[in-house]
Amino acid sequence: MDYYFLLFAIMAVGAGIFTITVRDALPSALGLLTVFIALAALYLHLNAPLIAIFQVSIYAGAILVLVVFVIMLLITPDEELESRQKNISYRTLGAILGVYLSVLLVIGIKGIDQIIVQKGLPDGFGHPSLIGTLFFKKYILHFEMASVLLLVALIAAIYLAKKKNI
Amino acid sequence: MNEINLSFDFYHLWEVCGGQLILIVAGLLLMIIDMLLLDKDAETRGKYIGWLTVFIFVATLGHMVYRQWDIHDIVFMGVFSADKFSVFISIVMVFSGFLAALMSMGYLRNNALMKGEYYILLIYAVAGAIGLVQSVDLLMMFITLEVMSLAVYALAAFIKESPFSQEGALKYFLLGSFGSAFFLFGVALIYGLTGSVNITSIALAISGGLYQSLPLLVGFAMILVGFFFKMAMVPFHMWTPDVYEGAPSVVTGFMATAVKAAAFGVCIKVLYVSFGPILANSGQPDFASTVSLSALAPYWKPVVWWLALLSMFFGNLIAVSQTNIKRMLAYSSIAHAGYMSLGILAANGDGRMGVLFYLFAYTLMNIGAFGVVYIIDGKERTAQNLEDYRGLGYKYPALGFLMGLFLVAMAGLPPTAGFVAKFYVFYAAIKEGYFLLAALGILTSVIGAYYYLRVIYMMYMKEEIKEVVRGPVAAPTVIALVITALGVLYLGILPEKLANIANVAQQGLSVIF
Repeated sequence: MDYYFLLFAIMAVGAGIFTITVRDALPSALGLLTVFIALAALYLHLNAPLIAIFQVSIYAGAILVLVVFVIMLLITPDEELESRQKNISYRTLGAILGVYLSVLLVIGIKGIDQIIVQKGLPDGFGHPSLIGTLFFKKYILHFEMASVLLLVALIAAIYLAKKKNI
Repeated sequence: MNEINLSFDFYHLWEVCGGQLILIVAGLLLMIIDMLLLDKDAETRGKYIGWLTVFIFVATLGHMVYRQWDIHDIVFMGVFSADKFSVFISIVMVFSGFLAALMSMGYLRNNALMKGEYYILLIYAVAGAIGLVQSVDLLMMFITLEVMSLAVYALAAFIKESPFSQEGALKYFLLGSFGSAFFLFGVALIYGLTGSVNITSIALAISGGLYQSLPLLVGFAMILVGFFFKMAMVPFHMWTPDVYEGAPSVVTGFMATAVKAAAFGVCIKVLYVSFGPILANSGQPDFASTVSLSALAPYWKPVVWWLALLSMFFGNLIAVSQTNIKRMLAYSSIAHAGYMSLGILAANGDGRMGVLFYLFAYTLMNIGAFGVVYIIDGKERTAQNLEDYRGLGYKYPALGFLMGLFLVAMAGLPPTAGFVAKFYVFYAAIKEGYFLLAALGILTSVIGAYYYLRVIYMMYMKEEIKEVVRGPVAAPTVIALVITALGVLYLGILPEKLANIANVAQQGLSVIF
């Protein structure tokens, strides 16, 4: 049995369900954070450290911070903070998250080698330079087309967001 | 260290993806030109940008018809292919974009929406659609699908004052993302099993016996669900009526034709090349093993059979009870997707030829109908109900005639393109032995005739009860309407020429490698 996979897969799915079922914005954002961290752990498991770093720095780091900022600007925390601290389900969740985090830390101390599935991977698999080579050789057209996608998204977002009559 | 040397043949890139390149570069240039024209008033600016867009579409059309149609080295880097099948569908989509651009000039002026972004998004929507149909790589299909979809989402939300437009676009965005997620999950499963995203490599990889494994079938089903969303087949049609009703009329016409054509094209490509035995027809010994993929047919054929039947029945039945003409045409487009999927189900040369012919004919009649709808509407949502069409046939004889012609064509009566198109797909289905489905399909098209002809009945046999004044008619719209009307009649009387071209095009499907 692949316990490492099961541990973080269950964590990701459970946190995902929590994210979409909870009615409060802030716990929902925390659930999303848990999903991102669990996915990063799974990427490490698949011997893709660069993707794991991207996952943590871009999703957990940049996008989630933006989400939390928006939530911070929209809600008034004074009256809600008290009830949230006393909520028993949030406390349980916090405990589970804490356990997961300590598991992750223990694994980190033991060393990454033990968590990687080894199935005759090619030499240098998961190395950043190899990903760069693939990007600019085999997948160069995908790379370019993705930039067109971003351009279209930019035009669409600017048009829809700007005020009338400009 | 691996050094990066790009073995990039720019001439070959231009040959294979010239159409996309023209559109992408033109979109960038138009953004700059739009800025340069800032000191002009909105009317002149819209006129300049509009005619430039029309010119760009004509140039792309020329490139595709005269250059891309007969090149020999058709696959570029294993990502894009310019086989005749893809080029034919691309031509349909560029043509649809061309007609939409012509009509948009009048539409945007009537609604005081003269914005450069509209044309830029239209150009990128067509560029994405061409990329989608030309790609032979599932990952590229996803990226280009998103390019096309994002541009169309924004176009659907283009009337910012209208809550209907916003609501429809948001629904389209959410459900469209859902469909794309299905597609992406399917691609991930297939990639995990075969180690490749190229559709011919996938065909080779799974023909060895992998086609019986459950994960592959799940991935296959998920990819198809993603396409069915875009094709608006029942039960994946929930977004269609709201989006088609809320979006600007010309955009609705464009969506119902170009986006549908792209989805049908790419679905046929993936279904037959990756999961069907068509590559074995190419005569190459390497691909002889793909014959075994015909074992997949018992899995997808019953699904398409039921989807075709449900689309035809639900589309036509619900359209009968609609009072808004755009909503009625939305349900009718679901029904048309059902008719077209008969050609997919037949899985023979005639069926594919029928689908290609149908897509071209449907482009002509549908964009034409929406052109008339927008002129009668004046400003969006002033006269869209069926009651508003009472007596219009005598008040505006030309518009009444055109609307009648397009609706008769959609109902599938001779001598119009709609009749011939329906004939080809039903013929293909009957040839493969789907008698029951063909009979039921013809029955549903009788239901369809009722609501199409009801509009004509309203226009010519009822007294006007509400004063409806049509909007001003712009010269480019007249050009577009004349082209579509002549096309509908020409294809109805002399369909052989296009049918032969479509037949050559569908044969190009077996040489993608």
